[in-house]
Amino acid sequence: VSRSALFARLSEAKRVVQISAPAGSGKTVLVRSWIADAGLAQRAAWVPVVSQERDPRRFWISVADALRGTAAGTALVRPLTAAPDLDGWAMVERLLTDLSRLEERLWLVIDDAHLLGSREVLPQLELLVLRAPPELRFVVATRRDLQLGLHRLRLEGELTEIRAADLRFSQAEARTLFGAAGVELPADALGRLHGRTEGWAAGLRLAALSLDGHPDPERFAEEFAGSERTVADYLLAEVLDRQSEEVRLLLLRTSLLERVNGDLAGLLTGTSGGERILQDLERAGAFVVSLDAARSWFRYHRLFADLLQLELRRTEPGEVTGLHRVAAQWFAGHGYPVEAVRHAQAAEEWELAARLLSDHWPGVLLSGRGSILDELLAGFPCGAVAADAEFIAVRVAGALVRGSLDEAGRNLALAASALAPVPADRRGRVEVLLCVLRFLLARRRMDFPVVAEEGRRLLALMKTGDAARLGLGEDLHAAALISLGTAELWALRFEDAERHLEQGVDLARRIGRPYIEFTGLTHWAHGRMLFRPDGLQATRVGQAVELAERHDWGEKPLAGIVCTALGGAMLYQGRLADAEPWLERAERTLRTEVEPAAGMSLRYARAVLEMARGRYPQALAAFEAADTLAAELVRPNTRVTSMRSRMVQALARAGQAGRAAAVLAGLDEDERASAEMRTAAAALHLARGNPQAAADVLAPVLDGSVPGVRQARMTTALVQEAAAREALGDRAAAGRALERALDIAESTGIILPFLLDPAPAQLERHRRHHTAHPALVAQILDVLAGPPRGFGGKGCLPKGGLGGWVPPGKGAGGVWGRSSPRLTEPLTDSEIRILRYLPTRLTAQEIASELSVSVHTVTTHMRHLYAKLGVHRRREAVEYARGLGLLAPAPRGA
Amino acid sequence: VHYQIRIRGRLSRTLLGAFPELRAQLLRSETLLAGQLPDQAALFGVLDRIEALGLELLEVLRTEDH
Repeated sequence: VSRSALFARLSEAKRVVQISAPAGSGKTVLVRSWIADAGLAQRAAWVPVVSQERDPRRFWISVADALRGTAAGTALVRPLTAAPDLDGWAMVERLLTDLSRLEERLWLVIDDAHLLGSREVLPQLELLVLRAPPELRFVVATRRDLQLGLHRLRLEGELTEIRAADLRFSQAEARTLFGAAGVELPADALGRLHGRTEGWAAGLRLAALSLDGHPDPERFAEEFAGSERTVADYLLAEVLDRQSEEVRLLLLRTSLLERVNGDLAGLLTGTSGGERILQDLERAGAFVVSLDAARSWFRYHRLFADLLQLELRRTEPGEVTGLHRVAAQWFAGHGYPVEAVRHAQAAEEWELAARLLSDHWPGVLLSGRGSILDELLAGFPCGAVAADAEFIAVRVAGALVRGSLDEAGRNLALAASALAPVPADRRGRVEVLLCVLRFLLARRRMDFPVVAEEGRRLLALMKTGDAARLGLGEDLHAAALISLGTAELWALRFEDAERHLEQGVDLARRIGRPYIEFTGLTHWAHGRMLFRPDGLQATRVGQAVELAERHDWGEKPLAGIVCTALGGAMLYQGRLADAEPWLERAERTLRTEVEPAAGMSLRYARAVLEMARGRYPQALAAFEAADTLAAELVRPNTRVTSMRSRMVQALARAGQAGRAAAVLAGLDEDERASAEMRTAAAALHLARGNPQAAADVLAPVLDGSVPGVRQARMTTALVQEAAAREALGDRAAAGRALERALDIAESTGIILPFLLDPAPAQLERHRRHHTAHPALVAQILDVLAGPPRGFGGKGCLPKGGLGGWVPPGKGAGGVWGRSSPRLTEPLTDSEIRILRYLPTRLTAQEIASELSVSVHTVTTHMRHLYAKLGVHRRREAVEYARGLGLLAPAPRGA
Repeated sequence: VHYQIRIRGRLSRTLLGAFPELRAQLLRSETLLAGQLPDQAALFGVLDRIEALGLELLEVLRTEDH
């Protein structure tokens, strides 16, 4: 029915239309027919809110998909891929960014908006409405008025409201509606029907169906008008009475389904013509609408579904359970595990539901829909399911997704003792799953012994059975390999780790599961940052970044781990300004309650960054945050020890010697003897003007009697030794210590320790007299000379690209920063040595004498350098090399 | 808490199936649903069902226990 007055109101509306009216008022049909009538199919994005929608992320994904389905939206709106822990707010921000360039009018229709059950999603929608560009129009259909900040729009005249009274059919419109259904009525019968239904759309539609081919329409109208029953109830009974048994059965039995196709309908009714009946029903404009272009999937108008279900429960109460059971089996067999579990729960088939969930949860989780697990778990009443190990594993996964690490731990403890009831053919699979879950929990809490133990156990399990025999499936196999490799990385078994991570990542790539691949690369990179920072870490970060960029995962918590790893690597290299935006991004995205270990790494990195800039109050605040998260981690823990030693160092430098001493006093004997805490104690002694005590406490680190000292820590010890010797008046010893420190820095590229214990005067003197590393010293001095610099405000994207971190030809544009320049030909070591001098004021002659080579050699290298960088001047070479990350950034806000 | 809910029209047995926790009394052109509900959340659950079924709500009363 063409309702021209309402169509005109919709077409002439300002930014927002709210259609607010009870069930069955014809809201959906009105908007659909208006879109068709006005020829807006290519300009309207239709988002039906599905019932039980509690996850804002799923809603926003469907919004993005719908917008991408429009002519203008295809080009503007980037696709969203579902993945764990996607944040609805970030998604709205991204939609706003994408839509900011919208130039032609686009309508976003949100149907059944009252079903948006989450507390977050309405404010998110409000944000979108308030900040969207003027060409984006909203049509919101709802049964209840929504709190969308609409009063403001109303005051500004930007809101059009269509309410129940506006939607009522006039008598003339009712006549047209009946006419379209092939029903001709005398005026007084029409008047009676119209009066009795009060122009209510659902009532009129049901009446039209009842009257189609009715022998005595006038009597029908009279009886209906005289009845005191409710309208829908009375008419639905009439309609059902007039259907063939086949159709009646189909209507009643399939009303249980959120969506239905011919196959399912046939299964539930035991007949074969399901699809044809559904298509006929849709054509008659009653009961169902199709969900796809092929008209194979349908869903019921909600009001009718509810009414039909009540009728089914009254007439066939014994059938309901069985119907749900059949539906559960169909959905399970056709690859829709979530719907299958829901129907099994509705059938109160708890064993079946638990079995389905146990079988399918890894797939649900690995495809990024982990939040559904919780919802499904909540559908089991207490004690309904025997708590065998397989089902407990689901609970553990749900708790991990939620970030309830303690609950996950409690359930894992239960699972081990509940393995017995699991049949032998499933034992291997569940053992692998539990192993992976225990590892995941241990990794998040930085529980090194358990990580190592689960790594060994996983390796043994994977050795005894091939993946197929364990019933893992390829996705789970890839995930298990990644867990195994990460565990080995943490246990410092680098060769095995690399091999298993590589296999896992390759498998994930081969089977087309980018999120699993991303997970693998992320933990690979993060593990390398923690335990073996070097160039390979950079490669993994580059690959992870590239993947994240391709799938727009830049705002995900997992991306937070990648950013921490990347920012951390840059910190080690002394690239403070480069590191900061990555740490900021990580701070925005990482959910520290879910990943306390990564959170601690991140806070620690922030603290070190601030410390390197000499901003001690900020550094101490970050250390405090790191310390709070450290409480969530398993102790003793070398990373926590490392963090605390830097905290003591910062306290000492900030003039809070008392607090520094208190931290040291609280340590046990083992911790105090570590290289980390020795450097912490040395920092305190130096701050208190006691260089001899500093030298004494450092001696066992420097002479090699403390085992396993990491190189960054050794550098710190040497720099402190140099300061102590200097203060004691032994310049020769100081110079030797400094030179050793520079040797390490030259070979590893780690210059951070020189920034944490800054001694520019000493370094300056050292450069002039003693060193084999003059360029490196110049570079360190360059960074030290840089005052703390401000950046483009919160939330700015990393500028200047990824430096040398992105694989060739990749990483163009997007959230990760603009594409980085690439070298066509790598620089030789000699050229890099020369390059380091270019930011200084030294002439070619002076560089030559610093390096003890001829000036001709220097100018030849410079010429080659310029050619490879594609520049003509020294200043350009410096800028370009900085862009590539080959040189530390400019000290004074270049 | 005891509630009394007045709905327009006489509800059929089918529709009454939606409110198993309440007693129904059919008046001339209205239906009176009454009974104990544990709390406000339960009341809103009932009101939700009334809305979903396209029924017209006339009155909700909290009454003394009967």
